Amino acid sequence: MILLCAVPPAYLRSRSPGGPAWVIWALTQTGYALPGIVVVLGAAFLTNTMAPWLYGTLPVMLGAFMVRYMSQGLRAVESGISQVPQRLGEAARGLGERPARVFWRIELPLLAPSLAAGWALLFLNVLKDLPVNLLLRPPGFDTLPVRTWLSATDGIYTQAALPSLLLIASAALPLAVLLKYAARRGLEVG
Amino acid sequence: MTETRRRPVVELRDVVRRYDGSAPPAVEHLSLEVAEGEILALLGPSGSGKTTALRLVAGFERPDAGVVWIAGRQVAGGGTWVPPEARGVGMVFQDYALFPHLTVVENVAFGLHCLDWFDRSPRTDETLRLVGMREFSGRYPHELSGGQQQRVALARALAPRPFAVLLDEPFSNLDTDLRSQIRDEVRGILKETGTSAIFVTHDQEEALLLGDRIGVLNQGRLEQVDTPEAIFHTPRTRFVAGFFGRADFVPARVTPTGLQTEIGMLSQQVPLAPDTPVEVLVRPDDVAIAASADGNGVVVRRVFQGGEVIYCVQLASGKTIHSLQPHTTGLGQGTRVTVMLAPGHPLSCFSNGQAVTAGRGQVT
Repeated sequence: MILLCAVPPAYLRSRSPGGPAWVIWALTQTGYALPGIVVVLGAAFLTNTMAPWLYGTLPVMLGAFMVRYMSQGLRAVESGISQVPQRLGEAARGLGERPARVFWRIELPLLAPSLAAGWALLFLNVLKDLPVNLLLRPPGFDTLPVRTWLSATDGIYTQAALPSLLLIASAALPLAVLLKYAARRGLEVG
Repeated sequence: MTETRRRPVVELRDVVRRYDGSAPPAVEHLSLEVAEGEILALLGPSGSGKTTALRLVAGFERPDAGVVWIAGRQVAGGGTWVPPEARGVGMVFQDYALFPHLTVVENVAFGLHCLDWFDRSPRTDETLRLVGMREFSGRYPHELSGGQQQRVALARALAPRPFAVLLDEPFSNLDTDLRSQIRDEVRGILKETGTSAIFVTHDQEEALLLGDRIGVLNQGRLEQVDTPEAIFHTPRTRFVAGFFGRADFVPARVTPTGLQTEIGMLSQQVPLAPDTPVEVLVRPDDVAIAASADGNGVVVRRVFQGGEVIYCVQLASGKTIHSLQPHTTGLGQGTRVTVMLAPGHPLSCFSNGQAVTAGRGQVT
């Protein structure tokens, strides 16, 4: 589950240095603007008609997550990049480093806090997401919100309590990361 | 020049760089060279293309035309392109651009990746000692003052022993009193290491103090490259003359015996036809004034500068001219004075903005 959540931001990271093209940006914004259920139904419909064997597998779930949350991830990475002055990269190249190594030695370490924050944000979102899981999950792959929802619809509220608690507990970790990051930024500004 | 010609470390030939097709180029037909161990100051108002010139040398900009050589190797122009990391020039940025996540030592050692680990630390040590920052090795940039960051930036640029160091407005972020101190230190360090340098500034005083030679840029064109003395005494264009020191330009007409101005005749001859309008460069120390009831000017302002006083005098034509007098003169505002030219040496004069004489002792 966690691994699953970590993939979208990782994907983002890899494409971020080139500067996201406007088209990609626009597409991700669309994904974000659409109601989650629309995206999910779209994905379900597409896979069912075009490739039924794909329905209910992890890749489709991942794809749906990407469509829904890419824009948030992009925004986090973009704000991080804008905080790393271009001068630093130039300085590093002037000192004899190739662009790829400059990214590794200068830009990535400076980007790390915002990547962590972006990851935490995405993790939270993916963790509590209901529609994608509900409709696209592989058989037996019940995430916490799904359990909660199912129990609640069945009217067994006592059974819904445990996954809810777990959900809150597991959300606390990324939330802590987020808060710590926000506090540090506040300090640097002040 | 009497000194023997050395091979230039940096050479630009006819370099053009334009950012926007319709706008005039940021740098236009720029040609200059920097000799080994020489410090060249590029001086000009903002937007004159001086930073672009520096970035062209560093390889952060590609020239649209022209050629750049560094240490005898062609690095740009004519289909050649050597990226910044392979040029062997160090750059000191205006905001220093120190790596915030690395300590002072790590910053300085950054450019030494081609040395093996064993040689690296003596070199960083030595460079940090040179700039007097050894005791701050373990600090992070944000824990340092502006002057200290400046020194680390210089050390970082010098550590890989580059062919040349490029400094972009290196002192503009420092307090005034700190600035002159750091300036002297930087010059000392560059001279001690024999490093060639190009630095960019809009401060003429800084250029005079730091540069072995000064290049004056105006709207992307190099108006003159010369020693500080030559730039001051024999400016080649009106722009250069006006940029250095306080300068007044007095209109004059060419006559067979000299130059006729509103404030008297200058008995210096110029190779121009009679009646040609020219402008004479007059510095405050070339102008004599004396109180006189029927004088040709009126004191409009008196600026006390301690050891001396600068009088601003308005002439009958409405033009104002400045005169430098000893502090003992006490002419008040509104005093009528006689203004005379008393230069004791030929004055530079300009026709259409270009110098007419080479100045001193020119006879036709």
